[in-house]
Amino acid sequence: MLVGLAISLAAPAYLLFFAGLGATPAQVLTAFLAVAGAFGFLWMIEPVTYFPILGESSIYQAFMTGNIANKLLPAALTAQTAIGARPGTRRGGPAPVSAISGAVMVHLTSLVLVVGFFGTWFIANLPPTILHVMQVYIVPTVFGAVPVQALAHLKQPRTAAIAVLVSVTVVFVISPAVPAFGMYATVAAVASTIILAWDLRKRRTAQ
Amino acid sequence: MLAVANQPFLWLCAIAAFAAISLGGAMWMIGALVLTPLLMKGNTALTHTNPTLLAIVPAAAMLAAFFTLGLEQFTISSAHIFAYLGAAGAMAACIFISRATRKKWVTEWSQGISIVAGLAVAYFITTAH
Repeated sequence: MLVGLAISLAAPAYLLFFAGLGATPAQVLTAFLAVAGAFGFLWMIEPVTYFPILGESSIYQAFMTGNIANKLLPAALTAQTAIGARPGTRRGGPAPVSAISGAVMVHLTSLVLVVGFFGTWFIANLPPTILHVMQVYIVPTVFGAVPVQALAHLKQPRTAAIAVLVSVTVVFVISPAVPAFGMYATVAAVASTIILAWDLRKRRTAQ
Repeated sequence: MLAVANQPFLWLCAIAAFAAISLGGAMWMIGALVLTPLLMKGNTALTHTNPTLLAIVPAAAMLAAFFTLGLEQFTISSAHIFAYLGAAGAMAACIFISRATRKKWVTEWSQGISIVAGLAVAYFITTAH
């Protein structure tokens, strides 16, 4: 991961220090603060939100890859379902690792083929209505399919009911009332569902 | 590009922006690098006190994250809701077929099948009128 970090910083570092174009550290700092103002909280919140799902090994992979919620989590879940491994168990650990590797390979291959090889030819020859539908509606279809799979795989109706109630409250009650809250919606829902699901879990009655 | 190249100030802005975006992307990695060991510690401490946590916490996190992200789509437009429901229905059908016929590949491909089905629903909804 440190290597990935170094590579991603190498290009701007080269331009800044060796290309002699005269951008000063102060200007970069100003621009960086602008980015930090927009995304800064996500740097802390996203690892905390996705850690309980991904676990120790795949979280490093995930944060080097990006597209966590819409690409990697569905891939990890499908892999766990296919081999019948629950998240958080020993069997559940390696599944997301290989699923994320697979997702990255498919992504890079299609990127090379569709963008690198065909260029804009492919996009230009798709009927515009189909292209439009694909661009606009791919996200809801991903998030429509995944919860159903998660429900069938996890078999925890009580936790699921709590998750639905919490998400509905967060999305339809709290977010419209407090617009600034929108960015924190996912982490708030995850944290409160974990706490509620734990508090209200099925306890064996002491005989 | 030529227009930019002729104006050193614009070049400067572009480089500063590029550096800032790269640094911003790097912060995600740094966040994961710093926080994961801390979260691991908390995780091991908690699972030592109660192993039931291992079953409930990942499930709760996963369901809450997906329901919240999904329901946020509902607020965009009604066609988004139909796309969502189409994909959800296709996934339910896939799971049912997979279990009824004991064909594992249906589960493995269910995600892709559902996306195509959801997109098809969105296509017919948006082109219908």
